[in-house]
Amino acid sequence: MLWLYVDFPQLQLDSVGDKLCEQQIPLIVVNGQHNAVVQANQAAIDCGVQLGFGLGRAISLSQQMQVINYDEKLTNKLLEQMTQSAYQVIADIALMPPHGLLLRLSPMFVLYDDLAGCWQRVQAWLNNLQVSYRGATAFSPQAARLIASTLTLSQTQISDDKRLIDQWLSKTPINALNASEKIIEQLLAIGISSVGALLDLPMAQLALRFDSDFLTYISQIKGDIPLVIDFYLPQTPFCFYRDLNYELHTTVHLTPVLHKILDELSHYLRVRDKLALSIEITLELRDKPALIVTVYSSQGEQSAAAWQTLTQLQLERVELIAPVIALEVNCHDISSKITISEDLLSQASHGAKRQRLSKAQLLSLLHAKLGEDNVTQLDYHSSHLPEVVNGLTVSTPQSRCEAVELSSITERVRGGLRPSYLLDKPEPLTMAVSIFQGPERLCSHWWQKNPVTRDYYIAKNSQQQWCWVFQIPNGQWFLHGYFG
Amino acid sequence: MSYSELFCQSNFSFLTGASQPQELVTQAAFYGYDAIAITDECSVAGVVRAYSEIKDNKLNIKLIVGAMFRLGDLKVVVLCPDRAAYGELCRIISNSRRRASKGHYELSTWDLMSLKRALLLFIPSGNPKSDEHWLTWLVKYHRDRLHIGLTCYLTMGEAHYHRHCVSLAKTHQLDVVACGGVLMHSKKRLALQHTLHAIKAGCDIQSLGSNALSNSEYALRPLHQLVKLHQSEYLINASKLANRCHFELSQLRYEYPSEVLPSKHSADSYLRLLVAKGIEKRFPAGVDEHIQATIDKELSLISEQSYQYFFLTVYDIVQFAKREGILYQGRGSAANSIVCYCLEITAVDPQQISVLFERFISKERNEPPDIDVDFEHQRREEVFQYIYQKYGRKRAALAATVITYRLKSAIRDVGKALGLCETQLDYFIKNLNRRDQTTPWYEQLSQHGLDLSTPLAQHFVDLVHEILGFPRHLSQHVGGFVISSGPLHELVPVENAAMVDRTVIQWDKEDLQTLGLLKVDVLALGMLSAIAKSFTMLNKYYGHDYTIADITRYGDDPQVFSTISRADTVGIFQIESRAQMSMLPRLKPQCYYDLVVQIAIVRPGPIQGDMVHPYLKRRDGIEPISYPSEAVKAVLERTLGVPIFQEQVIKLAMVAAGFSGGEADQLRRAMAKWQRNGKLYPFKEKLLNGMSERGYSAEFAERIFKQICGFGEYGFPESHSASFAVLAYVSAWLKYYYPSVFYCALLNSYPMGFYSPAQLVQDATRHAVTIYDVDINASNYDHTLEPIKTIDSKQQPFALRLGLRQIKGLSRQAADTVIAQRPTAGYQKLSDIKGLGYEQHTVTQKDLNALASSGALHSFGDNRYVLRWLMMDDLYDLPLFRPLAPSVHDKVQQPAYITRPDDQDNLIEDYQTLGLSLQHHPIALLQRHNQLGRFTQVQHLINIPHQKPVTVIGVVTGRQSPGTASGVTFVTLEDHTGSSNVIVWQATAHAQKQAFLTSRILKVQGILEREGDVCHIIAGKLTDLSHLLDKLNPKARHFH
Repeated sequence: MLWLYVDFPQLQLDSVGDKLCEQQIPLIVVNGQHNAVVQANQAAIDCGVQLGFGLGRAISLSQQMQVINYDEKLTNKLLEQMTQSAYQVIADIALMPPHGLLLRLSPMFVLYDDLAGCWQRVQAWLNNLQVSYRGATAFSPQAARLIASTLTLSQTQISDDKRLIDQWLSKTPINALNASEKIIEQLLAIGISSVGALLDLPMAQLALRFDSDFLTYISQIKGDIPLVIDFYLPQTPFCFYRDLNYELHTTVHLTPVLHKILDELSHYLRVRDKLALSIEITLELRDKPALIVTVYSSQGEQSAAAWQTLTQLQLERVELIAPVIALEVNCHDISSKITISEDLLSQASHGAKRQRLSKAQLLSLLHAKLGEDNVTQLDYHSSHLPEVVNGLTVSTPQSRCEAVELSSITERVRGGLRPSYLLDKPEPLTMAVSIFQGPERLCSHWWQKNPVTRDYYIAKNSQQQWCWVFQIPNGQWFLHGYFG
Repeated sequence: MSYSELFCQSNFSFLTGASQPQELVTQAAFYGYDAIAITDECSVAGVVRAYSEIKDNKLNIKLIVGAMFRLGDLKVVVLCPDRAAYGELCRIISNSRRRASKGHYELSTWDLMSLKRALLLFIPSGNPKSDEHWLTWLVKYHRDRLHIGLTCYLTMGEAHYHRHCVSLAKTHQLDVVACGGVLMHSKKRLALQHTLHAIKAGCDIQSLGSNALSNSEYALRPLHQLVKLHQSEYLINASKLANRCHFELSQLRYEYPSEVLPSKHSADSYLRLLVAKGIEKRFPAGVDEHIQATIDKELSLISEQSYQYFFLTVYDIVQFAKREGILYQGRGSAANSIVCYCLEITAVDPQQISVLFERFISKERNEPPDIDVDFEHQRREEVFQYIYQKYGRKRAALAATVITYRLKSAIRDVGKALGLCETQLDYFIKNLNRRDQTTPWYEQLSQHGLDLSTPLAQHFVDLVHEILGFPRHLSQHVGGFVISSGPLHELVPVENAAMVDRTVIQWDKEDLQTLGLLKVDVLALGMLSAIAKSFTMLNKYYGHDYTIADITRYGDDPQVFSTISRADTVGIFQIESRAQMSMLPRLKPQCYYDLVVQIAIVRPGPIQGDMVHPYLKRRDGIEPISYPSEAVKAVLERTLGVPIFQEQVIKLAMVAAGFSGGEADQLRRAMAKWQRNGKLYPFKEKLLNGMSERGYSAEFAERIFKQICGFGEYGFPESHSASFAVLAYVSAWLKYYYPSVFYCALLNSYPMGFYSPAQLVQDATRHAVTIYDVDINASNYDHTLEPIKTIDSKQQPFALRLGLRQIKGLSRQAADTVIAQRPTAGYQKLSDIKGLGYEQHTVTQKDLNALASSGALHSFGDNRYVLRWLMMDDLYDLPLFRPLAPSVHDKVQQPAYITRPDDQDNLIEDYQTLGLSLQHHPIALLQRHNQLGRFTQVQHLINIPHQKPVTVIGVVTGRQSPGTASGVTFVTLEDHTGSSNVIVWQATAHAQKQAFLTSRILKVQGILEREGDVCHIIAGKLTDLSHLLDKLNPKARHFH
């Protein structure tokens, strides 16, 4: 079985773009946790930077050195995207984080005739990606990985000649092994400096000196033991298209059609034990551009009934400018089932069977009914600024409804008065007031654009309303709220 | 109206207070406060600075000493009305601190109950239940001394809080006292306080949220504001309470331990007795009038200032060292004291240098003398334990060192608090060039991406400036002991240090000096260890019994000075650095005093003061020597008219400008810090006028003042240099006459000195010392001497056997076990050694691997790869197979799959495991393989004429960029014949950064410059040749 390992050692650097590279500015990616340079462009290498250098050492080599923080999540995401696109070319692919892909080539010879044909396709795909890579073939995944890791960028060693591959492998330096520093140190201390020399050691002798994990690894390099590989399987999204044999002029008439499709969706989700977080309904209109309606569920739903309700509410707000002649329902946004914990003891009283919605379900319904921007929730933020402490924030479909610890708030305001009604924004005070209490002085947010300095007072206006007013350093007065 | 602030925290409430104690007292005085209490949290670490500020600037304000404590919900301020109360406070601080780990405290109710004299200020929390509980409890024990402290911060719910406090006061019939709960001296410090809070909380300022201070009312406020905020009754109560406090820090009297005094003697009589005995010993030929007069003067002053016990305490410590055979030497200003010389505290004969007792003690100094005593660094702990044992941990503790914010830590912590990315902050810090005096740090950072026009950057810069110098935490002083007759915690609080069984007081050496408290510096010096070991070996191997005094008594040995003048000074104390080696062939010391000058002259002070060249020119007869008066001649004659020592500057001020001894000493102290505080300039007028009145020219006076400015804090006192010169001479003497002993002792005292073991071994080889490999059957833990196996008149009679201590990765325990279990005939079988791992828990596989790789098992075979391979095999551990294990007498089987290490492999293994190689030098190896091309070996540089091109290649053993060198770097390259000095100008370094910064093996093509016997190479082209060693046999490991 022939394997190809493709390594993308500069994935994050490549994603930065061409600007800096074109300008020949030395650029390095530094893993802050280990204080080590993990990626470097050619300009940086030309300055003398080597992988593994500390930050200080690297930047001392050039005043123009630019530094990027290593982002593992970004790298993984980029790798996943590449895997998805590679699937168009090769059926058997596995992700090898942090920056490698393993391709099983032999089965593809049926499609591409031989290695040359296969490699041509793969190379075309790689060149299309416009990222730096290096790659090598071997008869075991670990061997392919080892050989590839020692190559320079853009260098490839592609062959199905076993002798040649063995030669490459035997010349691979020992510190390319995916083994601990301790093991590599031990090998060097007995004069083993290449993989070839390591593979020449009798396994029985190695077994007396090294642990089983390392022995397994050597066997995998040799191909004696297979490597357990999790091949990539693309997700099959839910997509259901229905061509209507008639025109539908109102959304009400879409309901029965949608119900059937949503039943299919529910089945699809049940089989996979997943929840859908959103569905996209594309309405094809006669002689007009298609209308896309997205329906969200905050907590994810599996049941057809739930989606039917949400969809119905959403469609009620849709105005059709032309008759619907076909529709398609897509669902990409899927997640595993989440356990929503409910308080068992707060069940409704005395046997009455109530239809209870979770907060998330309620939120979804409100979003569906009123539109996302029109659903806001009260949020408590730890801050001195009143408008920040008790602010309304738009709750998105993705946000969770979290209970705010009331006790922490009450603790904080103990003894202190806060108005029941807080104005969205303080307004200039235009009427005369009598001061009863204060000042409560506030100096905060100096680190932001608009620092705040206010003296708050409790005052009564001519209409006998208790007001919360404040004065700023230039003498201006503002009204900020009313006490209930 | 009057007011006294009774609750105020400085920045010694670490990461809470946002002002220095000095700033607080100055601001309070400016506002017209009658008094201010510095009440840091469980600490009095800041009070001495406040006291000093008031005293030095004659501020019209009283300082009250106190501290704030928390216990759960309870917050209470403890104030000291008198000395007894102060003792109580120190006690409870000590108890609280000692109960908890470093930097923390645990107050107990018993601590509070035990207060009998202190005044208490209860600060209500606002929680009715908790306040009621604590107040009831406090009233029970402290009714007459308890008050309620009322703060006013204009925060939410304050009116309610005030009503609550007043109600508590009424219920318990206590006075309400207005107090500030101050955290900063000025409202402008709010941003800094938020920053400190964020640093303490480990988050950015934004994340503090409502936990941050809501406003800046936590600052000292002017009286007219306080009148508006507090009722007059509460303000009056504060003043009344302050008026009850009379304790001043000046009342702290230092009581020395009295154990040092035998019965029937007073401190004075005993001291005089000891000095008399010392005179007989130190001056067997008798003392002249001048010396006797000085002794009498010293004793009289000591008696007057009541310092007898101090001298006796130090005498007792050094006598302990003497009894135990621990080498020691007093240095610093104490070497100016003949009494110290008689007491055998110092070793410098005052007849050899010009002593200035006023440098040590004077009435005008009004502070205790400072005696520094160096001990062998490997045995100093014994001295520590003696002190602890003799005086007990309650009466002896180390002084503190205040660790403060420097630029890098300030940038990092402030940046994090402002939410800047940590990687970016690291980037800024690494790009900072502290040596660049012309470009401020923030401008340097702006060249690396900091946009100074943004508000955030401006805040960043301002806050970094503000936080510089702020204390972060207390650490222990290197060896400054405070010892008292009574419990120390009644004098100053004691807390846990990071080291186990170590306690520190809360004051640093400057605080102690301010208060006139005594500190004995018990310091460590590696060279004393090396000299002590040399003496032991001389006794053992040569049957010779030497002491430092014996060697110095022999007088100036011309042969020893000849080697010193040739700069053959690797390993020699104080004169082994590159800079010293460059100076030695110019100065050519011929006598002890020349050494004293040599040590003092290669310092930034004389260099910056432009004294070096005039001195050398005069010494070489190029420049004439002249003195404007006999008085000046008396001061400067022995340094050819050029002031080199601090004492000379002081004496010049005295004889030429009419300064008294004490005034001159104040000048010296101003010199030490003038670049930071500019306090030298007030002396300029007095100096110039004084000299002018005495007939000296303005030009001479200006020149002297300029030299004083250049001296700054980098000048050596003569006495200090003289003490060091004794050790320098002794080490040179030992090296010359007994090089095997000397190098062995140096290596056994490592780490110390300037050079690595590899360099010392190279130098030893060049001095005809034979070095034997480390051997499991011959080596001890330490390096030892052995008679050489083959008599060779060119070699020293004793060879140096490397000890097991040289093996990296071999634990001490394992080494001891190997030696203890070693049969008389040595280990015969590998399995016996392997068996140690099986039978003894002290020997691990890692130890066995280290032994194999280091070559210590070479008697079992010359292939260390195979030996390591065999060591890794546990087959021979099994009793059945053990008899089959290879023995010394069998040839170790060479498996086909294990290669034989070649020269380079062995070299690399040697450096990896031993840090040195006896077989090959990397340069020699590369040369043998024709990898280097043409170059000049160090030993042949002597043949290259001045200003001719030259190529040198060597291992980079040192890179130095002294601050006085204006960006020049001195690189030391070593080949197998010696070391060369390369000068790399800044532009050269910039243009060839990679080779300059990262080379391990460097080729330099440049121009040789020679001045007499001193030669340097001015670097032109730099080529990194480090890869050549890899090329011989591509491996991943580096030897260096």
